[in-house]
Amino acid sequence: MNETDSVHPVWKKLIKKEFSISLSFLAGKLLLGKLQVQYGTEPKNLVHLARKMHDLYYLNKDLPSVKKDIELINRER
Amino acid sequence: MSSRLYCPEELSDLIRAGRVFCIAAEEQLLKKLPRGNWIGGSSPYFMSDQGGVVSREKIFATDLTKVTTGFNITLVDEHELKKVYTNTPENGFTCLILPSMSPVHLSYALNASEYPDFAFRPVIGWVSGMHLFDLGEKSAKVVHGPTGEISSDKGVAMHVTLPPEMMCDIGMVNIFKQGTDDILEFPETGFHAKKVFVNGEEKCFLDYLKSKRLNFKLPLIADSAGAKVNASFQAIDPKEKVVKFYAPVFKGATYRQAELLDDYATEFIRNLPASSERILLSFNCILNFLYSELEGRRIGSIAGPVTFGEIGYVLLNQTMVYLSIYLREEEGSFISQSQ
Repeated sequence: MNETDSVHPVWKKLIKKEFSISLSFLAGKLLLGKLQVQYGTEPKNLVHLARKMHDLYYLNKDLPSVKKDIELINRER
Repeated sequence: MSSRLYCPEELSDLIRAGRVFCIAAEEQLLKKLPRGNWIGGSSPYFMSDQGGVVSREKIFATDLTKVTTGFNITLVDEHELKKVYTNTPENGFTCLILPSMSPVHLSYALNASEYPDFAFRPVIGWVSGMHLFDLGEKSAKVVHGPTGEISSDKGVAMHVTLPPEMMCDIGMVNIFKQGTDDILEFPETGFHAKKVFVNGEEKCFLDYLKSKRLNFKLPLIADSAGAKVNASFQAIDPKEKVVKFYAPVFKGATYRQAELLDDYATEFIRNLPASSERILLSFNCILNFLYSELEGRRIGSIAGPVTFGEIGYVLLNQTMVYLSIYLREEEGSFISQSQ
């Protein structure tokens, strides 16, 4: 996972609920729930919301729960 | 063991020696502790290595000394509470204690997910309370250890910086699963509800509960991208036809009541995290303690205060939250996991 990854479409797909995923990282679950609601009311902010989700995971990339989630997210690329 | 019960004299000696603690105890015991590097909250209920304990003579404390290279302890009002994420160190966490039913407790419950940098820093904690025999007579308290100031209106936060070789993660144990019955939505956010939309149809919530004969031990659950967030039933007011919760229900969220459990205690123990030896802090809900009849029963090696609400980024109910400590892998070893 690297910093430029934030533009990968998979993060937008995650916000738009285009695939279902069982996340392990609690902060990830809670933020994703919030961002998905925000997308519902402000779809034009998708790029910003996707970036935010990526940034949370990038910041915590060393945690075991995050690594597990990244593996699952990578399968959807 | 970094988390255990202490006699007041023993803990006082350690506080005077400069050690760093997160503490839970009856109010009168907290008042007698010396000033020092600690935060405290009132609760006489604990999970210890001997099982569930109710004690007005012992103090539960987690020694954070070995996992901190620096810390900052502050009392927080509603204004300061908004900065809890931004004030958390880049490599660290915040332990936050809020008095039950205080303005800061209610404010946090309603607003935490809107605070700047929400979820970007680990914030864990608990809601303090009192012995259930003292309900209505005493108020929940927190204590700012460095000054000894006791408050029933403010929260207390310890912002902890971890050593660079360590990192932390917050987990939650929620044994409840959403049932498959009616979808419930509420017209307003709050700690109580009069009206509910049941599968889109507006009804009186109390009348609905009575007609369905719902089990009040089972919380309502909202699913936030897989994070199950409970709203536990607190009380009903038949005169006002109001249903009260221990955590707010949110407008726009979709709830279902939890499925019935075969055995509350067995299910709780079955859902405990596998690597419990990494757990530094854990906070378990009083409702789990009561409904699982945990007094005298062990839940593995998990130890911590029993609380009147849990904080795992947001306010939670009928859960156990825990903070685990990990050592950072050597640089480069995680690259093989990325694509």
